[in-house]
Amino acid sequence: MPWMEGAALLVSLLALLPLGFIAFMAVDAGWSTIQALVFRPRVGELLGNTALLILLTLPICAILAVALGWLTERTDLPGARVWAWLIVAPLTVPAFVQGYAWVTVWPSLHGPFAGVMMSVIAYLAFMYLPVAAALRWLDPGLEEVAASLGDGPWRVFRRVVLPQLRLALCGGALLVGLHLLGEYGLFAMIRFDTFTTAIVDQFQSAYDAPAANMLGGVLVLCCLALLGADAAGRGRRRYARVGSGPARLPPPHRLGLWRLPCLALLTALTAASLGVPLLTLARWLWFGGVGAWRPAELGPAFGETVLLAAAGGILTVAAAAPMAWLSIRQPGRAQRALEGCNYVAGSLPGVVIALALVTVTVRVALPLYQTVTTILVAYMLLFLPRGMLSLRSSIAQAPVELEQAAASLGRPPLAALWATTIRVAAPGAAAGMALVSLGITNELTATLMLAPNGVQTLATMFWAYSSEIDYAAAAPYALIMVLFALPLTVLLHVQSRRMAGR
Amino acid sequence: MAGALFALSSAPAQSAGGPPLTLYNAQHVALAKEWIEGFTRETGIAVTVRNGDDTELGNQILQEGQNSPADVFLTENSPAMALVDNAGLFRPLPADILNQVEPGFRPSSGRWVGIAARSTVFVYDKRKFDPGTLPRSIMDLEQPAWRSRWAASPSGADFQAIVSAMLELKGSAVTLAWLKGMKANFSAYRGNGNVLKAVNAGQVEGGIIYHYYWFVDQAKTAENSGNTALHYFRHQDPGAFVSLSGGGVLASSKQPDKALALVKWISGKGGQTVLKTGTSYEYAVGVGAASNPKLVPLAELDAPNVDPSKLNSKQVTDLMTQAGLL
Amino acid sequence: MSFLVLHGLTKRYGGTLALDNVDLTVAAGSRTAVVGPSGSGKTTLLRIIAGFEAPDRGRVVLDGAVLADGRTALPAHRRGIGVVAQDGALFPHLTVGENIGFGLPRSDPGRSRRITMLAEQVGLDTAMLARRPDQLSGGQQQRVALARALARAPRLMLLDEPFSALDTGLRANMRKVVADLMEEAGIATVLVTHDQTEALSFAHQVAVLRAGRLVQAGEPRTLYAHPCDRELALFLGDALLTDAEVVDGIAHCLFGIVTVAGGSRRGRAEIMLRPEQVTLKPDPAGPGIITAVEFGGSTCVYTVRIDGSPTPITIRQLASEVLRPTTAVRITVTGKAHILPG
Repeated sequence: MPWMEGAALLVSLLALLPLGFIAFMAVDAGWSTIQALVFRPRVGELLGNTALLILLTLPICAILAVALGWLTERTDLPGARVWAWLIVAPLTVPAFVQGYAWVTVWPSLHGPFAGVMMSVIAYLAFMYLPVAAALRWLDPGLEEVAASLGDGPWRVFRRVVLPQLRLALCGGALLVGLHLLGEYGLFAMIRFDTFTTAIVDQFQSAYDAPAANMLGGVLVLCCLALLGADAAGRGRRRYARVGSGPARLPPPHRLGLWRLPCLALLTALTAASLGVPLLTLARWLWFGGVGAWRPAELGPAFGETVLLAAAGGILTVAAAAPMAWLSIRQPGRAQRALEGCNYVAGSLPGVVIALALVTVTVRVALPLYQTVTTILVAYMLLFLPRGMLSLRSSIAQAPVELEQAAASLGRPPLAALWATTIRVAAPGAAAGMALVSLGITNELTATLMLAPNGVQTLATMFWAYSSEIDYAAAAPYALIMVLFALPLTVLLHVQSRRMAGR
Repeated sequence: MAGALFALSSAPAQSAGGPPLTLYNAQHVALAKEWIEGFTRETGIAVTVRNGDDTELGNQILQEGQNSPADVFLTENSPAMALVDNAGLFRPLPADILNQVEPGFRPSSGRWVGIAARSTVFVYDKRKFDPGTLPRSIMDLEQPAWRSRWAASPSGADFQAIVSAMLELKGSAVTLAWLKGMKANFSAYRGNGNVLKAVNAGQVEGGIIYHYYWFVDQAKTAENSGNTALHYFRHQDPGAFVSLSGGGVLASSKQPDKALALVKWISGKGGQTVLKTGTSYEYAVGVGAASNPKLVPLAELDAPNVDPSKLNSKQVTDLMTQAGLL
Repeated sequence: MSFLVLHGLTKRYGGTLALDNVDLTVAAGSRTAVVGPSGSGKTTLLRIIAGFEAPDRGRVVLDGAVLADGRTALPAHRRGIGVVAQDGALFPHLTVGENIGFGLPRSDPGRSRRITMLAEQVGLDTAMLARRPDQLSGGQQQRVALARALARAPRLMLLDEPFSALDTGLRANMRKVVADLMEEAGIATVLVTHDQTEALSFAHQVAVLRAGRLVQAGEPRTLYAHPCDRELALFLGDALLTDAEVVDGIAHCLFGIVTVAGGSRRGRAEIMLRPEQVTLKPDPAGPGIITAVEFGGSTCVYTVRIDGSPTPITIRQLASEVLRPTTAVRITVTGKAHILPG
């Protein structure tokens, strides 16, 4: 089906647009401008902040994720299932709402320490999910064999369990790292400057000035460095389960005297990541009372957010479909290279993609400037990987034999595709759409920069009010975003358990 | 859904007589809303708003050039107006609009008009200052004695407007040196409201903001300003700068009559009354228009004399970028 | 001399009794096969010996030392017992060589030499040492698992269905390799399997578990010839079962007169013959008629209708001479029949 390849190629080229834009801008600006705008103390400062943030947050998240994963999956922790939900539940709270909540209870919270602490609170679940899934999936037989070879529990953990969590840790670390690079609202709230906040500052001071673009270039390099580190961390090792025996449920480890400290840790974490935002939100909602619910503003913001999220979800999954189909049915070197393009674009922060689209549309494609189309394209580029991953795994569940069987029963090719693969992949596609929609609902930077005239989303309204420290007026928007995210978080959690085979 | 999306791209669609006006608004969202509601009520003309920062929207209009969808541009400060004006993108305003405003509150070019004004202040923690220990001039704040003692919002257009006045009054060398001293001394917050809040909470001793943030909070619950007081620099100090909010009509506007009507309404009696009676606490600038009686009268502020059309936002962001503030 | 003693082992999972008062002893250097259908508790037994689980009641004693007694249990890593799991359980993140050397101290200067030696010992090409486990065949994986367990010179080796994933031919071969290796090293071995042929051919002692209880334990030949009940008789191999009238060590049955083992019993009883004890001879005057023949290579399965019996019987014979259906046959029996209790 050549149109499939054509469509995949088109989407991939589109995905390369932001990178091409940054490269073009760098060349266009010339070396002396680059020198003046990139090699300056402020960039060094931002680089230091970013490095500090990543180098502290990722190890802390990794340690906590492994500890929590172990506690909930492998021990006799009381209420382990409930705790697993409580660890994942903060995903319903957008990072900037976390920032808002914490600044309320701790107004002087700022700087690198705060950045790291808030990042851990807001993003730990992203690391926990894959690690817990991997722990559930690990063959307990390996640990038993290691014990029979003379290794005590700690050595077994270090030599057998930890190495097998490597892929999950790498994946989680990449996800968290990219979020850290792209996060704006949270860090703006707690006055911690990163490249993203600096780019937004520049943008708000001078629109698409070279200074913003150059900072964007450095940010892109940070992203690529993170991708490279992830690739190196994964290595070429595979951790496929050897043999075909079904994985048994391992007998849970006894916590014994450790039970109380472990419960205390979990309680503290849940209080920080869930208790603080929910209580703060409740407090502001109470203070704001009925008056804070202004239907004339809430209604349109709600409607526009739903429309953008739905349209963006459909567009993104549709755009991801050809490549996902090719990656399962016709994998190859060229296909993999193209697929890689999509992931690289998806790893770029919203601020870079928005910057590229603003400049390109205003200078070259004016009819698209400030239109819904442009912001939907931005969402598509941002969330392409989410759509792709969901689709890939569900298309993989529909073997080509089904299509052939349908064809042998007299269906023409497209009808056969419709009757088999599309039907089977539909739930995965729906899940992908839901994930993309959730991302769009909570997206702030690209929406601030690209929204058409007069369009306000829940996130931008929340941001506008909380920037003017009208926290009570901002609360209803935060509440709606949290409620939006609730079913999707449930879906995510259930899906990760199912993928782990149980 | 396609229909809904189409509606989204042209919202709000319905308006008396033709498409709605597009307003690029850098003024406070709440104030702009009060103005627009009053204007639409009187004229039946609908307005679509794009909110942003002064220089963000100013530069955006420059980028868009003749193709800008904007009909009217409102700012909080003058530099962004000067930016658009210098690019020749404003339509000259008729005398009946200009004459609504006191002569000191409109640029010499006559292509835009003042719509409100705000004064620079030093907000300080009452518990930490005796009257004698307050800074004499904003220029003092670069001294080592002020290290880690004050705050500002350097990414905001408000503060950048104050710097533009300093640049106009003291020149670029002095200003850059001051900005570098500031970088070493100050704490950065995002937004004047947050500066006020931090001073009130005792996180920092004082801060440079505009007056009305304090009055707005006092009028509500004073929960973010109860421990603070305002210090006006006066004596024509750069720190006594009164910043002029502007309004102008884009030369590229397809509906110039309606656009002019909006600017006329805001700078006229209707808009100026909103300033006096509303919750914005900005100064009114109309001829004979009174400001909110709670404010220190404009005439007593002894502000420096600065031609708003000469304020240079581009050079300010360059200097601030150089100083590592952006 | 009893090297491993299991005494009164009982283990309960929720409502189900996985092991019910199991007693078993294993002699030093000997091989024992624990056999039983799935769910019989044989894997639980193995896991308790290995130290992966603790018994609720009963004792595990190895070489005079109590490993577990229902209250405390020595953790697996202090037992010095080797384990080879069903699927090999090779560490996927380590190379074959690293897998084999897992239990050897890193500081040991002779480590890599020992790894090579072990590989050779289990018949593994040393070129494989640098590979990843998933690049090996099933048989090779089992050899690696064996070498890995042997590396620590265990006192006791536990094999949990290690051959079940292998092809039939490879299976017999591996069984021989393992038996020889254990014999050579003098390591007592317990093999868990659901395959009776494997159990009979591998072990010095076969222990049969059913629903958590030890049904019978003894030498393979004894169990085969003298199973304790009908079910076990059928489980251990093809069996011809028929009712008989027993008097003074002689059984009168479908096959005529057959001597029985252990002749104290009298009266009606069910007797068992193994197919190799029975021969079909063409005889026009014989009491049987072949009604169907199923050719299976080295053996043939005949369905024979015998005068005076309502149901036909099936008899497996060597296929040296294949008889046709409708042939009249005479049945001769060699050796003694076994009287099933009950």
